[in-house]
Amino acid sequence: MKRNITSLFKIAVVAAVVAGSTSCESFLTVEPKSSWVTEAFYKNQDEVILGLNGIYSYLGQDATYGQVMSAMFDAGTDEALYNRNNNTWPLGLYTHTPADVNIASAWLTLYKGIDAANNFIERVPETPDMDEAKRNAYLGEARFLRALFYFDLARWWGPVPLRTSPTTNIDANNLAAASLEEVYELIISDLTFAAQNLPHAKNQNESGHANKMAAHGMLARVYLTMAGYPLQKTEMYAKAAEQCDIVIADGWHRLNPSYKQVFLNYITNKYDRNESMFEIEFAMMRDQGIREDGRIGQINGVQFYYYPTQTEPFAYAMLQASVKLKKSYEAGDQRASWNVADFICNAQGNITQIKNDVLYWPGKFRRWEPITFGKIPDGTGTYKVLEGVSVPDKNFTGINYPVLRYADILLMKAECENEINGPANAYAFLNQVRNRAGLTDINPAAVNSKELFRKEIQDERMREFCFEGLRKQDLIRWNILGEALTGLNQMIEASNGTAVNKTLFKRAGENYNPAKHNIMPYPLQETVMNQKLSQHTEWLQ
Amino acid sequence: MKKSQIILLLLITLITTGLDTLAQTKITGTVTSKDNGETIPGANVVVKGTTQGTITDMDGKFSLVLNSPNAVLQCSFIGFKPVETAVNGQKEIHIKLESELIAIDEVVAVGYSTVSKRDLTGSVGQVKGDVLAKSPVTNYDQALAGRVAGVQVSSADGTPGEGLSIVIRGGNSITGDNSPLYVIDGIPMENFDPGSISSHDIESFDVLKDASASAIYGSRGANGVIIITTKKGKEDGTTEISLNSSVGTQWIPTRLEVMSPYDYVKYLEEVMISQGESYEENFRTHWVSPEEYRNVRPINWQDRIMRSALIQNHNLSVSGGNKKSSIYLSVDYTDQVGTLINTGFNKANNNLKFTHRITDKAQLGGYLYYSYIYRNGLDISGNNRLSIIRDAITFRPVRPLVDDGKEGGLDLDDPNELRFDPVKTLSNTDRYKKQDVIRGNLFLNYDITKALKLKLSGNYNVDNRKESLFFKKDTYEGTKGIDGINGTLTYRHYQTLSTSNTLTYSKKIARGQTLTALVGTEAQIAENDYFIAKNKKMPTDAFGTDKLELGIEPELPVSAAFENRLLSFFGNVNYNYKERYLLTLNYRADGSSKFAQGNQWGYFPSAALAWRMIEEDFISDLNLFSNLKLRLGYGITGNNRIGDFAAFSLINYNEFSGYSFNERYQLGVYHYNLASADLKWETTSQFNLGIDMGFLDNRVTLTADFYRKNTRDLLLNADMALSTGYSQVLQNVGEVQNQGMELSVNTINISKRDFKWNSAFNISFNKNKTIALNSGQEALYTNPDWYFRFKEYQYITKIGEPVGMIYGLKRDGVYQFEDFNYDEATGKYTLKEGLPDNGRAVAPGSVKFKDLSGIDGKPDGTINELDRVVIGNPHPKHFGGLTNDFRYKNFDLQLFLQWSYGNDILNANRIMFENPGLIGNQYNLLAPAADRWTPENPTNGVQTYRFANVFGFPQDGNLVSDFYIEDGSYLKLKTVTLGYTFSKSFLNKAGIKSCRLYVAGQNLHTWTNYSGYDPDVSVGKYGALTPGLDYSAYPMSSTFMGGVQIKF
Repeated sequence: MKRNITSLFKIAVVAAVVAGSTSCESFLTVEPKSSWVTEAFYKNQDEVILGLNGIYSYLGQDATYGQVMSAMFDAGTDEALYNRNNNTWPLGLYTHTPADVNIASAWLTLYKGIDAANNFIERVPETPDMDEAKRNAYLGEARFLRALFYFDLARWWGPVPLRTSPTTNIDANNLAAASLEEVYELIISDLTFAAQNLPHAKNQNESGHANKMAAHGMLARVYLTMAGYPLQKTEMYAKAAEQCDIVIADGWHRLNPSYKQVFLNYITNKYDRNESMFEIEFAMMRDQGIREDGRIGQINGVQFYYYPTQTEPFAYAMLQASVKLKKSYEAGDQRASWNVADFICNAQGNITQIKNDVLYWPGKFRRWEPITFGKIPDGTGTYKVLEGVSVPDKNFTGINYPVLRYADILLMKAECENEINGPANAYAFLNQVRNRAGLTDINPAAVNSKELFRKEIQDERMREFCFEGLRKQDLIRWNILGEALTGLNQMIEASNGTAVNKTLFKRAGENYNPAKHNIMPYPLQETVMNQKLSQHTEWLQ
Repeated sequence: MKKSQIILLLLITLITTGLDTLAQTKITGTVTSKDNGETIPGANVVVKGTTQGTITDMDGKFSLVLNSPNAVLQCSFIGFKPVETAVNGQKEIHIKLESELIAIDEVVAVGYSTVSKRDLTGSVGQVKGDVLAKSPVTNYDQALAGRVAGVQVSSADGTPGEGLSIVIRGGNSITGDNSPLYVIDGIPMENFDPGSISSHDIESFDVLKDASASAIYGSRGANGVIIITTKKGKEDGTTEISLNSSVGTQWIPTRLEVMSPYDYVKYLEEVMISQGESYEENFRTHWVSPEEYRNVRPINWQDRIMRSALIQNHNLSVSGGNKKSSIYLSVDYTDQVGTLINTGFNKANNNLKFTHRITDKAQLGGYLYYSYIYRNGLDISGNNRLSIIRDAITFRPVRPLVDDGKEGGLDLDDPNELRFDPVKTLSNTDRYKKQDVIRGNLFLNYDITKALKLKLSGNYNVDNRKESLFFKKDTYEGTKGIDGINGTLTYRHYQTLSTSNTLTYSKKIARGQTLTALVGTEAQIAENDYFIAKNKKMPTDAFGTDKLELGIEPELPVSAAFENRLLSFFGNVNYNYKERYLLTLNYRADGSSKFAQGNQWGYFPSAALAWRMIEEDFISDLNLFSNLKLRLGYGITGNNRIGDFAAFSLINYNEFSGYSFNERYQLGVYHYNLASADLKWETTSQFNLGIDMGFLDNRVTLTADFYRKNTRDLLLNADMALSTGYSQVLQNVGEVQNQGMELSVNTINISKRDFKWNSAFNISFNKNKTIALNSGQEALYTNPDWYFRFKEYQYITKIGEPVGMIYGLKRDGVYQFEDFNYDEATGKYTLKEGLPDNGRAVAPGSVKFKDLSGIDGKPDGTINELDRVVIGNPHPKHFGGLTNDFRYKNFDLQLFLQWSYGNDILNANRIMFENPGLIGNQYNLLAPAADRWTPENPTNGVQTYRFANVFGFPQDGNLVSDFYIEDGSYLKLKTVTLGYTFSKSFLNKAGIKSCRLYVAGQNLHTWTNYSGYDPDVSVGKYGALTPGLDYSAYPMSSTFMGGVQIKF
């Protein structure tokens, strides 16, 4: 028996040693089953495309252009005001704090896009068996997108941590903010690479991709932004003008003859690449469980509160078009009735016309239009759905959102020209935009100084680009956000709105504090976890 | 049931044939009690070494026919120590039994082995299966609360059949799972469904509380270990058939008090007048005046969704066998109709367990356990958009005199109306989960020598789940939702294949020295996968999810698969010196596939010492103690409850990660997980000091334990700097400490033949403290997300304080007229200098908060998130239970009280339903809102609906305040059982061994100041981060049952 035990022990020991040394390791190796392992990704072109599409997806999230950056960030300007009695959009009322969830989600999503792009930019150069031109075109798209994300960060938040390589471990938390100049340097270098390596839109099979002229146009916007507040590098006007000239000289991008059609195209997902140089693509696929939708036209559209059959183009419409915008159009401007909608459909299905100065709606991305005023239930009120979907979703839309239109190239050119040389050679560019809106050329005598023309451009940009997410940043770079809000509040006070309405819409102007509201606070979680980033001094008081 | 009856008969036949006896000598005898000399009827008398035996009659007499005049008789009876008596040729034998006061020699399971209680070195709590089976509950865990010191058992809510939260000695993890490891008949299980076992099959329930005991389970032992040992076949040659049937009713004992018809209409009048003339006109047309509703009987919507419901349990078991083979078979059927309509729970547990001795040295055994579990009406509290409790409370309690056609006040045309008739919602929503759980085990025991024993076992565990969620036409989703009639089907499959093998050496190595040593190895492969399909906009609801293809808007199907493996080596040494000094050493090495190479192996040692001081003369000479033992233990355990692939950086696809170009959707991928490369176990080190005392011949026993455990390298979903592109990453950071004291006292108060009274009392104190979080982080903030609209953080886990404290504003009553300057010209109220607003425009009657801080740390005149502080502590100061068992003649009575003291509850129902105007102008509200602020009633309680054009409720983001924090302390009459056992002589004639009739009640009464349905509630989504939250929970039920227990 004793020998039995001894041999048994021997066997056990041998088994344990063998198990411990070799088979343990293989027994304990289990590869992920339903995900790619990051380190092994980007090994062929299919994966490169999957990764690239993933970077684009961050443009279309709710936290970026789906709602937060396109609608919420636009609230509290002289063109759009938050219209609810509650305070769920503190950003639009200037009551936000560093703990605001929307600030954090926009910041995080932009950086997710940056991290995805950084991964792509670092790894794709090593993807085997790829045509070099194609590879550079892909890299150009990734760098275009990274520039876009950083540009949004820089103009809203100022100096931000500049991350140019992927986050690979948990020790990456601490990174100080780069100076605004350094951030712009990266943006310019990325866009320049993109301009050099991206194909021209006319040579692209698919719309929606970054393209050569869009990169030049974005460069123009970046330089123009740098020329204004807070950097005030006025030498950048020339650089911006230079980029505009490239696009204008190229000649392929041009204005659509109809202003209204430009937006009907966004609403119906038709691609007019001549005017729309770069746009965010949304698609209504929620019914299939795919979330490529946004809230454009629903959250910043014309209110439609009637919903008995679940097929109506419902719209919460959290923004009101300002009385200032309404009154800024001269007679005959075709943009007026498109951008400022004067109709509403209430919960009982009553389609009525609006007479109250402060209660007009942003009409630009409208989901619906009345055919006849009256009550839908009794057939007197009728309407048509504009969206290009069979059945509109209640809360989400597939309406695309412009990032860069050719009209902006023209107005940027006009602005730069005026800043550099005065208005003399700037009228022509402004007039192209005016003429398309059904207006005659501007009377040069009325805007014959740099200051007057600048004022004209400031108003013209609102008339042309309202609700396209440019206004607050335009006002900030001109350093007139406070002034604009004060002016607006005077107009509200003088309007025919009710006392309750006036109180409601004056909140933004009353709360605005020039000491801190020209820049977003860093999200609380960022300053807590990133020990090298301290909050903007403006936001510490 | 039919099939099982046939099997049962077959088994009985098999076991009873072949048992024959040879008649030689006839003897007679009596069995009496040594204490008082009275005869003992029903005692077992067995001839040692045979299967032959009998039971004493009414007069304690027995007769037996013996094969040998030198036989030895073994006699036993419950409550007495078993005795062996040699016959020695006598014809008449008188056996005296000594009553057993406290069974100090009871064995407890300690992981891979059992030890007698006297030799125990660690802290182990035990509940006997028959105690659990006495409570009228559907799953054993519902009977556990208050039974074992240090084990906190709490309900999420009253959903039928849902598992309870069991936390042993305070939660270690912050974002991880704090539930213990289950070991069922020796097989460790990480996801054990309490429904998959019948309470009647549980022999004993042991809880390894301290690390010296649980370290043998290594990387899975940190949350404590619950060892469930099930009953097995008898080996004494007899067969026992046991039938236990009970039927009863359950009901929800409480209702939330809502405003009366008069108060509601008065409120409505105020609402309508404040909205304008046309509204007021509308009000006068339909409602006329509140006075009309003075004595109107209210419509009670809660009564409409609640019901008294049937509950029943039937269990049949057969246990039999001999020294060679034994078998245990049990079938169990439980049906619980839910106390909310269209909800319920039922299950069928089937258990077949056998052993068979192949040779003297080798024994084969195993079990096959199959359970079918069906749960209907899940997630009553889970979906925060559609809540039937909300609808039942806020539906108006009365119809207007001139009817407006709105059932309950529901305006179906209002697109912002999220409510729906709660009766219809419940009736027409099918949410069920069907589970098939199968566990199989085969083991071989081989005694290599008398001292050296080998045990090999292989186990298979599979859990197949079908989950269905279907919204019929007459639901909010079906008529108003964007998806129309829709259904989702989910299949989940979990399977675990494992083997557990041990070699035990046990020997008296020298005089007075015993050594037991064990080495073992385990391996486990756990796999799971799921598949989800959803279809929407169905033209009919005729088939539910049984015909998903009827929908015209299918969503992309979703599937995924996971796997993890565990390989372990462990050893244990128990050394006993002169019954006086006891030493236990444990060591385990666990390797897990969940971690990256280099971090796969974790090592978990523990040691414990016990000193049985009672054996020392200087103690026994005191004549004070009948038992005295000191225990001291220290050990390190781990927690590995993380995703299978958390240690990998991963790229994945989800519904948000694609993009469309040219109107063509294209797949895109995103960075789904960032690996922290050196991810490893969460490590808990625990120190335990225990003392066991016995007095008066152990009629009074006391066990006290003091512990401190520190959990380091928490597997924490730690916040990241958002600019990394990640919001949270799982990391080993942070530390949590739990320390506390547990006390159990058992007493035998009266022990007479006809009257016995035993008491058991236990109380636990635990202090939980967050020691560290991710570097630089002072606090973790959590939004429990109980209502989609409210985004504010309501919980905080802050360094130096317990995990998951309730966080919010300090309420300062209601603004009164004297807080304002009034401008008669404009009719405006302006706050007096120095008074803060509440975050938005205020007027008399608006809710008022304390302005504690601002962006620069000083009060800033307004209220925002900077003014939030800790406003409640959801952790009890102490909790425990008190059991009193009485036995008078044939009657037995058990009274069990259970309590929790000093824990706060965030009563979110009151935030929603006691806040005029917050969620709906015309919603009915909880009764206190009738006493809201009005100019005539300037209360500091509930704020006004609207005054001077200003709404009284706070803006979103400022909702949670200490006004809604309530003391959740309670004392519950948890279980009452009254039984009557028929006397043996009466039954023996009918061939019945025993028969007991009983009635039992569960949750019969709760003493509490809590205003909600029940203070035993916690529906927070994020575990330890959000405890003590009550919102729209399934109300807790009371149960009353009657039953019969028969043994043949």
